[in-house]
Amino acid sequence: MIKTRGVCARFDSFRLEDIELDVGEGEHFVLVGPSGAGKTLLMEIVLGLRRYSEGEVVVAGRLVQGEPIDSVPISYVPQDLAVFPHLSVRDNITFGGRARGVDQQWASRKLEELSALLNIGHILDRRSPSTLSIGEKQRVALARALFIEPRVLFLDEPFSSIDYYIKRQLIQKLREIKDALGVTVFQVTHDHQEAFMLADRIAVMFEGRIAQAGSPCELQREPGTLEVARFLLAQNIFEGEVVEVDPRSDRVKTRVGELLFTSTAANGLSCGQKVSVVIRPEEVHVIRPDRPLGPKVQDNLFAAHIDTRIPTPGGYILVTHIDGLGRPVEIHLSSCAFDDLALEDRSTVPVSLKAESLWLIPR
Amino acid sequence: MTSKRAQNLSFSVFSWGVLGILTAYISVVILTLLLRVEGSSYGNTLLSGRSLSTIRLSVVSATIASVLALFFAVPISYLLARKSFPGKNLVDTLLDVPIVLSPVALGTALLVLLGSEPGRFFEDNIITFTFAVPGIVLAQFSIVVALAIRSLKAVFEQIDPRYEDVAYFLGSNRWRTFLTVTLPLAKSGIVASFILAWARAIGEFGATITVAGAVRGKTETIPSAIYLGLAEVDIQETLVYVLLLIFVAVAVLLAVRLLTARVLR
Repeated sequence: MIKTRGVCARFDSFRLEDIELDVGEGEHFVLVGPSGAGKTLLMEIVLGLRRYSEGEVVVAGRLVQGEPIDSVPISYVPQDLAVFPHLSVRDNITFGGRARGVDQQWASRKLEELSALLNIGHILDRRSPSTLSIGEKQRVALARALFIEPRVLFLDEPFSSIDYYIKRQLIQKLREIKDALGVTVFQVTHDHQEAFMLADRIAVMFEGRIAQAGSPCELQREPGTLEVARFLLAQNIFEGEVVEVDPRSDRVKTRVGELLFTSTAANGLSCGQKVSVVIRPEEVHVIRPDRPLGPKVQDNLFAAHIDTRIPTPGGYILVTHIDGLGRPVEIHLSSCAFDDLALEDRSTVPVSLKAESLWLIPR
Repeated sequence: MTSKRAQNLSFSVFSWGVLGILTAYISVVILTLLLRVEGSSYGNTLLSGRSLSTIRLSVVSATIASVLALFFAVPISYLLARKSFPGKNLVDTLLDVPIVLSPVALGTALLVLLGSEPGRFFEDNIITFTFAVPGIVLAQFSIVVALAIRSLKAVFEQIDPRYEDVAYFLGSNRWRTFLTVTLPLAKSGIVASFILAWARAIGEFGATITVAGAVRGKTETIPSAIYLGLAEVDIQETLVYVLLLIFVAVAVLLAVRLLTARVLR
């Protein structure tokens, strides 16, 4: 549905370079990256609101260059929502219907259907959107965008500036809508959690370049660069050197400090290669002393000494150190697991840095 | 600490003092005028047939000039606010010339234009401007159109282009988007701009008298009536006209302030 090939563009001192994207029909695609990465610029190029200097952008089979395409219905929800302040809520939602001259009966049915889907029936008669809460405005903007039954829905940071509870509700709603309507979604966000909750495919963007694109699972398991790993909140990053590669079992041993880590998937690594060893805090497994070791947690067994316990909603971040490693290791643990294990501050716990969850990124 | 407090106090005294002096100065000017005009002069001047036709001519010409100015200024200022094009700075500067130029110089330039071969042909066959009522409208229009463009450009720049982008994707063409989204959002700003242009037009003197002259009963507007009144040493009538313009100015400034506050909100 959306394809970009070698797209380059320059805006003042900022450059977008060699952007290659593929978004399939009916796919929920999320472009994620820190603020200032160029995500909105890229979305505006794909929308036809900005021109690019090199490459090619194709949407629904049509070349886009600085002019929005008309061949398929496209809806756009900008970051500030752009809910028309001079129109009532009802007129905002049905704006596209009037512009396209749709049948009155069809418009009424569509309005009913959308207000039920987005739970906005109670605000339809508001004469001005200025009295709506931000969450209600988000839903009105979404209803207005969906009213024209778009083939592609562009969302620019749709859930920024709303509180977590409403955000979770809207994320759930958006998933339902996407499944019900089969619309292709191109979304921009700086929030990687939001990206993982919604996306079929994710592209991570830094400083005008796509660092990596793939399914949420691929990105989670194999971040291509250290930058991607850091952005996806992998706090545990250690510098090491490959000391043994077994091509038959595809297992690799890496020396980190005074320790040896075993990991799966050699990915063409060779002995002597310098690598960054990365593991997400959720993947550090705390071993229960009273239970036998499962097959996935038999490697990289160490004693971790708890230095600090930081509370998080629903759990804790344990900042620990492992003798001979030289860097702290963060572990995410739910409150019930923490209580169940009867852990205490400054205690020592056996942990496994699961072999299949260790990523080796060549340096 | 005490010295800092003293300095702060002296700054407050200075700024409030300057504000007080200037406000008092303008109030004294208006008050002196008010005290100088005899009660009967208001009725004698404002209800006389000649005055009524002078006021009517001023109001009608200023209204036509302002409507014409807005007809040009709305699309031009929108274009200047939204689009970049080669030579934009040059065009922008050119459109600003009437704001900076002395009105009498602009009037002279218009006279030269009307005196040229094509100008004479236009005057002989289409509309006569020189020493005629259309000349008043032309002079006022030439002055206020630049003012309207300037104020409307600021209005359109305040309107987020995202509204137009969203409307466009929803299926609205550029005309429809402009008429149903941009113009309603700019409504208060356009009204404010019209009032400002109208007030400037009704007070316009230099260009008007140069192009249309000040012929009693024919091309006499309020400012030219003041000029003629001074020349004929008819102080009472002149002062009533001056007070009338002051009243219009205060009313207009208050209206514009209220409308601009609505735009910003």
